[in-house]
Amino acid sequence: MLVLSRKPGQAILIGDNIEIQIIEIQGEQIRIGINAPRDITIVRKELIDEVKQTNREAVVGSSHISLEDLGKVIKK
Amino acid sequence: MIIDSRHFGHIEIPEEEIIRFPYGLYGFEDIKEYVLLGKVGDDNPFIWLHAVYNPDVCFVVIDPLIFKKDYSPSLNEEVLHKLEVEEPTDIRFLSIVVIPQDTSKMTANLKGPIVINAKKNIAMQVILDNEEYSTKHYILEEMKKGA
Repeated sequence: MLVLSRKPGQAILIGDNIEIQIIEIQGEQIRIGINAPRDITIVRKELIDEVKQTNREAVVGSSHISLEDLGKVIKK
Repeated sequence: MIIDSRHFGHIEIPEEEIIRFPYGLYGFEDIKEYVLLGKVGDDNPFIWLHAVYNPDVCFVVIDPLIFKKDYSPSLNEEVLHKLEVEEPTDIRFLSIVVIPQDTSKMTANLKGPIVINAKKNIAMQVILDNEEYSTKHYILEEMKKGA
């Protein structure tokens, strides 16, 4: 991994059109500003990990589950 | 075409019902084609989302509007572009359901809905910016709140 040191107000460029700027540092929190084209997805990584984990949990492993039974559960 | 399913054996589905997921689902990036199966009557909101070429991968999904009547997250241009959306009315949402042993504790993911362009059968899972949604909403509790 490339590791760079930056100060608040300084920025880095990735390719031609992605700019990442350090806005401010307060204790453990670092505020980052990102300029990128609209077709670039920017998501907090832990959120992606959470959604991946939730998807994996959601794969139906047992054949005991039936849609009829689930329908009855919500109609109770 | 015939799809092979560990749950249902061999099922015949019309090819035009295949929904393309160009980016897969998070954690299942390699699986790009699914079908919706097994709608049981109009009053049952649960549907199977089954991988076309992978007999082991299937999910239960639900229309989030069933338990969250005001669910209409805004989508950014990038998503609309990737799904080739021309008319906003072509957009449908589905939430993936996690079903624990105690089915009354089942949860739906409103933070990462599946967004479908129903006209073109293209879909993707989108992670919303919206703070009010989480990956695990208890469906029964939400229904009570909404009732």
